[in-house]
Amino acid sequence: MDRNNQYVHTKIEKIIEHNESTRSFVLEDMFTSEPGQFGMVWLPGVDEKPISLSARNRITVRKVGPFTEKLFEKKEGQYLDVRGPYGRGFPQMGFSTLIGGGCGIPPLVYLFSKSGTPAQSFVLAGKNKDELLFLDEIIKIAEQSTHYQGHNIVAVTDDGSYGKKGFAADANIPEGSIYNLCGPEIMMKTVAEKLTAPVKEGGYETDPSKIYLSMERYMKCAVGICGSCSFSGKRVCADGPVFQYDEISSLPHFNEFARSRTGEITELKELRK
Amino acid sequence: MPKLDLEIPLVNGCGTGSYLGIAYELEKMGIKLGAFVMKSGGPCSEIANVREEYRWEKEKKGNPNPTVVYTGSILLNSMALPTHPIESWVRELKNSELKMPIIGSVWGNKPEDYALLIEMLDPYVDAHQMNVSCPNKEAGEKSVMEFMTAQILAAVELAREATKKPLMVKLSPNENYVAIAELVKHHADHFVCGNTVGPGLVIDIYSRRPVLAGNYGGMSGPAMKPKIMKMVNDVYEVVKGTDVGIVASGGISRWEDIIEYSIAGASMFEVGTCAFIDLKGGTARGRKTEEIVKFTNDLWNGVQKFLKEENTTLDKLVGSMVKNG
Ligand SMILES: Cc1cc2nc3c(=O)[nH]c(=O)nc-3n(C[C@H](O)[C@H](O)[C@H](O)COP(=O)(O)OP(=O)(O)OC[C@H]3O[C@@H](n4cnc5c(N)ncnc54)[C@H](O)[C@@H]3O)c2cc1C
Ligand SMILES: Cc1cc2nc3c(=O)[nH]c(=O)nc-3n(C[C@H](O)[C@H](O)[C@H](O)COP(=O)(O)O)c2cc1C
Ligand code: FES
Repeated sequence: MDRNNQYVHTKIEKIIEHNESTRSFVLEDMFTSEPGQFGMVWLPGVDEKPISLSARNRITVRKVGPFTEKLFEKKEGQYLDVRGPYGRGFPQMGFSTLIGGGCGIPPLVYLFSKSGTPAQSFVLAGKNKDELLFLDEIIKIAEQSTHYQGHNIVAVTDDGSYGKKGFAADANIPEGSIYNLCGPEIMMKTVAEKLTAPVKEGGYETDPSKIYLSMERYMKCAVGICGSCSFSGKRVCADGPVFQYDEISSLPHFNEFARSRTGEITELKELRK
Repeated sequence: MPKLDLEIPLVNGCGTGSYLGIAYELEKMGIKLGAFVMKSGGPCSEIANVREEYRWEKEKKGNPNPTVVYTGSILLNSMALPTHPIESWVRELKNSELKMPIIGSVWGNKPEDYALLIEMLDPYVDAHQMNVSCPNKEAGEKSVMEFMTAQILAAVELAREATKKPLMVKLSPNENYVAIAELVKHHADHFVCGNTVGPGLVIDIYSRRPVLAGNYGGMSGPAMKPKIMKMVNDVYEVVKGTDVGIVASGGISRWEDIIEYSIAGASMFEVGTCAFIDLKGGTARGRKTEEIVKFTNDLWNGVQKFLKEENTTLDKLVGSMVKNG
């Protein structure tokens, strides 16, 4: 595959509209990657942002600001420039449980669909049914799998429009030998706390090193040199984005702080404003 | 004035992995670095009075992405000094649990900026670097490099008055560094040779736009080493016989590079691009923290092994190049 200064210049084969603010772009050409890794998507003259892969040749994007708005103007047949893959992805092991919230579901779908990955359970959480991205695809993958017996699909929604009403941590999480989490940091933290809590408190007493979380921070270089994406001392682009819970749970910045675009340590709740 | 004397004369490049949290993580994992260089702080303040009095901003965002591009042989960056208020740097430094010495770094728009910033950081750092050599800028700005050539003597003199700690002036390979070194050598303890080279330009053939959002980018990595090697040797000729030390910063990727730089005249070494990015196979891949530790420690172990085998010391090697003709 040709690369221009690391970028793959690739045609948009197909655009899938999941809901008002979420779209997938299926790309003709793509570098090889592992589930959980991300690419830097460049719109010349606009900006370049980190986006995870939701399949070997697909990205799934939520429209949240200037860059993603511009990306949503792209039509089928037009081109995108993407470089990568960056970071370390999810472990691929049997009898794992994947827990995804909202925009955290797509990277896990890639993991779920990867051929040869043995039986996995999937917990989907979203505000409402529309936000349970790839629900149909997940069910289809499970049905077609030779490991179907082992698959267990659970959904929860904030408003109860599909599955049980509640947040990810309220779901009846199927037990696994490892847990792969992707979603808002607060959701991942709550779920990880439940998984590690004592059984008598409704927890699973899971070893924290068996829980994997996919982190997000403000990225510039994506190659570990600028420090922009660091929280405490971990650089998300190079050490992550997937971390073991025991690597990060006691770091002061976990679920609390991020560096802003200027590099200043800022409270996460300030940045979200 | 005291020269900075480190147990291990190897430090990280300024602005490369240059946040204290990262340093702390590296230290926990056993990295052999003599000191840690913080990312350049600059003329930004959260205090309105300070902003008014010194004509400072609150913050400077730096360029949008892409800020880094790798051509397969050279890394270019156009970060353009993203800067947050100096007070938040001071808070970070105050809370630092780092054991190794810290080298501060500052950039400014005018000579007084350097002195004031150095004064503010002085209680929390062990030495100061003056970044008067970054070639990167945001649209409509002047780069520190262009700006400083005119006023460098005033800036270094004022900075010298602001601190008793070792003062390191980071020279640009893109300006007349020999003349500048001559001009300020009586006020500096070290010259850092150099900063990123160029800037250079990489154009995307489909959009016909520069890949870097800031259009041009300073060049670093192993391909820049011969350029910086000559710079080190040229500046060594200027400071030979004085107490001024030379810090080599450019393209160090193997222990042999450190030996080579010492022969050219350097007594301290900064490793940036190659410590943080694995450039093997024509692609750029961020190194994990443990890889950075291994890479850096291998550099230093290699140097020590060589010195032992050759029955020599770095001190003896400094400036020992035998020139032809
Ligand atoms: C490892 C990683 C993987 C990601 N994967 C996906 C994905 O698969 N799908 C998806 O829709 N989004 C993903 N994101 C988030 C995506 O990068 C942001 O939504 C996007 O950058 C927003 O840009 P904007 O200009 O549209 O919005 P803005 O208004 O600029 O920002 C909206 C939000 O996005 C964050 N953001 C902005 N710029 C960056 C940046 N350079 N790096 C990181 N975060 C940024 C901001 O902090 C803010 O919370 C991922 C982020 C990271 C770090
Ligand atoms: C991403 C990046 C950011 C940098 N930021 C700074 C900076 O803030 N201040 C500075 O004096 N030099 C900065 N530099 C220059 C480096 O400190 C170093 O001098 C240069 O990269 C050459 O060394 P190397 O080839 O080992 O990277 C930066 C370099 C890079 C690649
Ligand atoms: S974006 Fe991770 S270090 Fe630059």
